[in-house]
Amino acid sequence: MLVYDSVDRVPLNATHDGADTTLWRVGPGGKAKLATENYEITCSGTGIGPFAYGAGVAFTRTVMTEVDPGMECLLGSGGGDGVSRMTSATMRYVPAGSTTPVTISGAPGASRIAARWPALAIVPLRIPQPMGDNVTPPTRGTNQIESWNLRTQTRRCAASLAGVPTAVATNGVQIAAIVPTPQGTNLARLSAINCAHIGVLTLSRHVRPEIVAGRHTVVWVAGRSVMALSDHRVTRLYRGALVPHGLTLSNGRLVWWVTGSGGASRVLRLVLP
Amino acid sequence: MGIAAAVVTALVCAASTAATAAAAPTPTTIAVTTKPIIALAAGGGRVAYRTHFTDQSGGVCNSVHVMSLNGGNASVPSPCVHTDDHAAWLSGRTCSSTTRSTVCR
Repeated sequence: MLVYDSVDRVPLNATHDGADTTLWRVGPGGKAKLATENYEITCSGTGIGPFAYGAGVAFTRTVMTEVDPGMECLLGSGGGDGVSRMTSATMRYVPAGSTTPVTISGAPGASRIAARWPALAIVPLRIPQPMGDNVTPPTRGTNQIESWNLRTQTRRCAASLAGVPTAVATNGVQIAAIVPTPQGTNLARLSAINCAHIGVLTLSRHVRPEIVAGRHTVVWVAGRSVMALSDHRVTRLYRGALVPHGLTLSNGRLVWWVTGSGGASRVLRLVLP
Repeated sequence: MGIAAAVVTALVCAASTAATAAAAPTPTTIAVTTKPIIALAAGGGRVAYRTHFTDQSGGVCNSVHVMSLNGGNASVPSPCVHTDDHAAWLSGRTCSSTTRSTVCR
């Protein structure tokens, strides 16, 4: 099952463009539209932020509000562009086989998100955030992780961290995050059940915002290397000439891409030892 | 630990180290594209990647490709269309890449 979004910038009226966002699911049954949102750029509307697939699709729905005192967009009084902020965000879930999103009551919108049934790990968005001229919602996060149960759609726990996570992953039992701090970049691991801190490992300086969690292994990217933590031991799985991007894990196989200076890209697969 | 046990342990460790070195994995290329990839996701034995490219006339080509983790021909559920598409994400593990950085969320 694959989920992706499309965000089309389209002329909306004489002074503003709009952003039409659609969330799509593609699977054996074909392609289905899961959600649509519309935002009048620099004015108001709704959008779709980070999402993850975990026996269904959990996605962030953002609300943008016009905040300029003259309410240029709403009233058209001064002919200005308007000023907009992302003022709230919620988490929605579309179960497998359904095309109807339901709001997970009380769940925050995510700046980073990971799912592995039934665990949902959310780094809550910082609210509010300025939109500027952006088409898509901003993704600054907070220094917290919330763990939710997708089966019951209830919050299990929350944990405060030493910094704002730049990447999060879960294997359903544990949550792992890359957390830059003033003292260095940490690999933090929490229980997905009660958010108890399982371990913190200080990594090298060149850690990138990439992390995946398998059943017994956590994998991340440092410089041009793919690194792994397994059985309390850190090993280098691979070092290449180009920086790995988009690290992901499926059925014991790591996948990432590299892009050369000319823009051409390759997708690489590596069996996890 | 006796001497014999120590020798056995040393041999096992040496063998383990040698096996690790000998089995140093090499990644397999499963897709090649002339366009920059900006997002990737994998699950259920399949991998999806998204390319995003702006040509000299300003046309945007944003497409999503899906293929087996073993490689092979990709299907294209969202083909390249020359519109102003700002989408950058795929399900599960999602990352967005610019020339300067990659952000995964």
